[in-house]
Amino acid sequence: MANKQASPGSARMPGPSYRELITRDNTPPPGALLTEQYTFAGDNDIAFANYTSQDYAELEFARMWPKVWQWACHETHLPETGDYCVYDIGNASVLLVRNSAGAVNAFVNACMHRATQLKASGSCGFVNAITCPFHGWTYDLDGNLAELPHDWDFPHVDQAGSGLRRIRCEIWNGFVFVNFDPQAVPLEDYLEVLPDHFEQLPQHPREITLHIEKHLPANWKASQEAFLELYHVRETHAGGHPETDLAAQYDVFGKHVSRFMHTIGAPCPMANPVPSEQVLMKRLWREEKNWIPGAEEDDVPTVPENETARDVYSALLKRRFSETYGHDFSNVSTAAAIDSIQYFVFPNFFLFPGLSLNIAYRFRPKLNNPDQCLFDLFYFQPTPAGRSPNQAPEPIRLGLDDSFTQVPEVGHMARIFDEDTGNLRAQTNGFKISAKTGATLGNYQEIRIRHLHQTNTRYLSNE
Amino acid sequence: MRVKLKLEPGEHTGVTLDGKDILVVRIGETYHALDNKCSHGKARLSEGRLRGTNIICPRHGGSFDVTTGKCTGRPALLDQNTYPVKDEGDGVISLETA
Ligand code: FES
Ligand code: FES
Ligand SMILES: [Fe+2]
Repeated sequence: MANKQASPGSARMPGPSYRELITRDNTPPPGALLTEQYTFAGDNDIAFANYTSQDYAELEFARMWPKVWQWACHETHLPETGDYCVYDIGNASVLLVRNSAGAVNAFVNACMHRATQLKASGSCGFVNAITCPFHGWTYDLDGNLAELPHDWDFPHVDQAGSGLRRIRCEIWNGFVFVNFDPQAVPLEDYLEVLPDHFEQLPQHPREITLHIEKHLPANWKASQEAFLELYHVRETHAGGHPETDLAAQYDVFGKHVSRFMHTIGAPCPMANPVPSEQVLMKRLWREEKNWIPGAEEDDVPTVPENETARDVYSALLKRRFSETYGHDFSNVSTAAAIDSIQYFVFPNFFLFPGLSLNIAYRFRPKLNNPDQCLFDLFYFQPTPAGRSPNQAPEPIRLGLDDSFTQVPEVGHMARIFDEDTGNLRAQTNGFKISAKTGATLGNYQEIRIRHLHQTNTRYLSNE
Repeated sequence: MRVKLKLEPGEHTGVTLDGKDILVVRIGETYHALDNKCSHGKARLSEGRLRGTNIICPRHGGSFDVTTGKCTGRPALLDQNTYPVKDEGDGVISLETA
């Protein structure tokens, strides 16, 4: 049995830590990737009712969702004046529009006459002015009521005061966030360490190449928890094979931000004997080469004496990326180039800033159903030098029983996403049939799940 | 009816032919033609923007697949009429409006 004497949360997987491994890389990591922030936060079970109870979901809609910064869209969804898109959360709907000055406005997506929803849920498009399809009340791109048909019949309406109701909207790093609370702290403050860390990570312009909206049969928190820890990797992705465990680090930075990082291409910390670097390279090539533009099955690179598979692979990736996209990536650290580095911002924004793994997730309740959610998956690529970013593509929508493998663009990750989401129905069933009342969490590897619930509880108790 | 018209891929424009207001769109190498007046509220689709193969109506945001005329987004409900087009080369296309 494991050592029960040490102070709780202090035990770690045997073998070298993530931090130790990346300090050996030949292109050193920035300070942001060397910081560690873990504190034991208790070991009580997490009540299953947090996931299954309709009352709990309603409390979240009353006290949490209206108070937090939520990622609504990306700037590339709205490249030009008049471009709009709609972000829905629960029963709320937000209309985001780029105005003629180039700023993004967010409005309650309902007409000031008799409330007709102005633009369809989940839609994107372009307008010169926002015209309600019912009686034609028309608003300019700043939400002012510009035209009131038959205004002789509305002497009691103050036209200047009947503009669309604004919602707070701020942009960080191309990501457009909204907050329903007029008193909310500025987005930059809410994001805690994120802006500072991202200044130390690859900074090139990006565009979205793929957006999938997948309908999942589980609570939004349970669904994202499947992505907050790596404890599941051995069983869910590797059939229980022990040598697939990863050197990983988990951090909790404040009220809203947490992170995990794990190596790509380093040996399992417990591997015995430790495989040679050339064997590691073969594995890397088999599993990861699809990130490298033009990589061929049989071109497995040779790892020279005294070098590591990680460094050789990362150097090749950076070179091919530089050639393909016309930016200089040579100074990007090995870790930032190839590792799986995942930042999470409460309540539901996930961002991987790496060169190869440059993706984002978002999870939202499906309407107000506690047992279902929508999972948005976004792939990014560097915007090639010399042109502006492509407009973000419209989402490809996958239903409850659809597979990520139905979308060829998801590539080699499709099977992994199917595995990650494949446990959710069984877990949701389990919440309802379990003999226990709550979920038990590992002190270290599942700390981000505990943190998610602790922060949620703080909002629910109006703290 | 032959018209002098050259579009780049992804471009669109409105033309009046035989008193009909027609939207011409080029997707890749192929030209497509459909009614320019939106089936919903008669706004001109040529003033809208193209997303992939969908034209978005600038008035209420209805959308139509220009390759088929099929309505693909609310509040529009009805499909647009389409017209056979042929690229005759040298910046000339021919359109059958009858
Ligand atoms: S409800 Fe919008 S104009 Fe009447
Ligand atoms: S006029 Fe085109 S959608 Fe209404
Ligand atoms: Fe996973």
